[in-house]
Amino acid sequence: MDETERLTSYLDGELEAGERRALEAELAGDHALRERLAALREADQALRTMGATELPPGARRRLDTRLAGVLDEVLSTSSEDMATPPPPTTAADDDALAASTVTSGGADELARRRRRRVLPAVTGVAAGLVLLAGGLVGLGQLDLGSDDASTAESADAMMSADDAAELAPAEPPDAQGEGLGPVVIDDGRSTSTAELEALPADPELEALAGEALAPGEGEALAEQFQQLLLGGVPPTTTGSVADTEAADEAEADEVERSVGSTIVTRDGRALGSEEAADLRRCLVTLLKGGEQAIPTRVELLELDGTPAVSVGLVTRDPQSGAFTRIEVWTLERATCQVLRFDQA
Amino acid sequence: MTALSLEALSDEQVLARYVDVGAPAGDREAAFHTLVDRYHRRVFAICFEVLRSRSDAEDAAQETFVKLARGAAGFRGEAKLSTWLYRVARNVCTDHIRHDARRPATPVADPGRLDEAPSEPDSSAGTAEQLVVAAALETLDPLSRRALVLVAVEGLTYAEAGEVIGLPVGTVKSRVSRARGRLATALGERSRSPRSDATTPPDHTSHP
Repeated sequence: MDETERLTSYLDGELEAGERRALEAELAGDHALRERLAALREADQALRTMGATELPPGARRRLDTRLAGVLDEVLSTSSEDMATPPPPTTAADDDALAASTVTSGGADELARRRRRRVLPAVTGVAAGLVLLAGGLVGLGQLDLGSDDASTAESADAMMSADDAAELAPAEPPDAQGEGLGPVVIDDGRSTSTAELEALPADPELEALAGEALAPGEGEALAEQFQQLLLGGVPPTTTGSVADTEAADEAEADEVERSVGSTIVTRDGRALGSEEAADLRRCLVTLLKGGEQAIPTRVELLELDGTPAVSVGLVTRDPQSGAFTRIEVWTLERATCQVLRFDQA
Repeated sequence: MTALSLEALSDEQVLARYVDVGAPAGDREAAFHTLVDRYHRRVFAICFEVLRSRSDAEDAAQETFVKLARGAAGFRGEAKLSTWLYRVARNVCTDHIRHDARRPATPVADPGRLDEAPSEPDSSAGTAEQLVVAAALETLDPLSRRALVLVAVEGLTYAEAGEVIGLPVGTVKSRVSRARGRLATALGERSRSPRSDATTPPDHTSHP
């Protein structure tokens, strides 16, 4: 506990008797400490003058108006509908999440390969890599069109018999470039606003946006990339589930459970569990609206001293429908609040 | 169930009344409005602190209660209702920022706006002393300011504030403590500065 924490705890009456007596003894002989305590007390007093935020005039009436229809609808719901709990999770789900692994390739190499392979990949099969417990295994032919439910199954179950037959022997981490996947960077980079403005021109993002993937192709790749990063946890919420906090809670739980899986950075290092958890939390926050976006480049960095997560997305152009828009979101790591938004 | 008896119930008990499909619709609706009575202002305050726009905060607060109305059955009682509700509010606000920025019609050329001072005048910040404190708060980093305001001004518990800003309670406590220290320093500097002016924003460029 530093000096400020001791003093604020003292003002809050939270120090143990012994600690309080010791601090009071220090205060008696330390003029500077007394001045610091007085300044803190004055600051607290000043804060109390602020007053809590008040509702705008008419806000409650407007809320009641909006709620009227919702409550009519909800209160007429059958007991079965109202009492339906969120789908239970199973041990198999947990195992799958723990076993699933995200890999990513080197930026330049992946950019080059995407140009060559994205279109064939999304029309039939896509390359993916899953690190099973104990070693890296290349899954050359993961079916992009697989059911969403497969993402919640174990890593073994994610493979069809055909997939399993095509399993390559365990390969060293540098083989991960063979697969398509998001680029994950954790170089401890400290960056500035000006540098972030240039990120939409990143080769990785431009390469994928340049493919101008058709809606179906882009959606398939979006799903695959999101799954790779989230350890098999789809961030999208659809239908009525999207309107329930139960879904939010389930997402939070899923992200928490997926912490056990590994994200590999472009230089072949496993991302620390804390970094991976932060990355996933912010990615889920960013993607939870259910919009189709391909998380192509993810970087842990510091923006003006604040730990942040930068997520480069390739998204659908509203006019053409093709995946040509580049967006870079920078979120504060601790809170996943949006710090910056840049686009090409 | 009368309004009086609802007032005597805990949040969780009131919510249980709202989701009780065997209860009369009028009673259930009254239960929900009791929760609105208890939390509308705080949810709005949280959204205002995050979104920094009164109209956006009002929209987000409305959306939060719509989500509560529709998703109350999903509350599993593992946390206090207040912390659960504040988490919903946080998610709604985050979505709001994200979707607002992604709307093509919305100018996003200056994304720094996310950290700007409120674009709409805050009628509650009226006195000279309040303006001085508000200006000093603006010198804090956004996370520390948010933690401090939520706890010291809006009256949230550390746990509730942690739910809003996504940090463990111990971290929030440390943040708030340090923010109090920095606020004390900032206020002290302002009181000593001959150019002290509450309406002058902090000038980061004048200090190398």
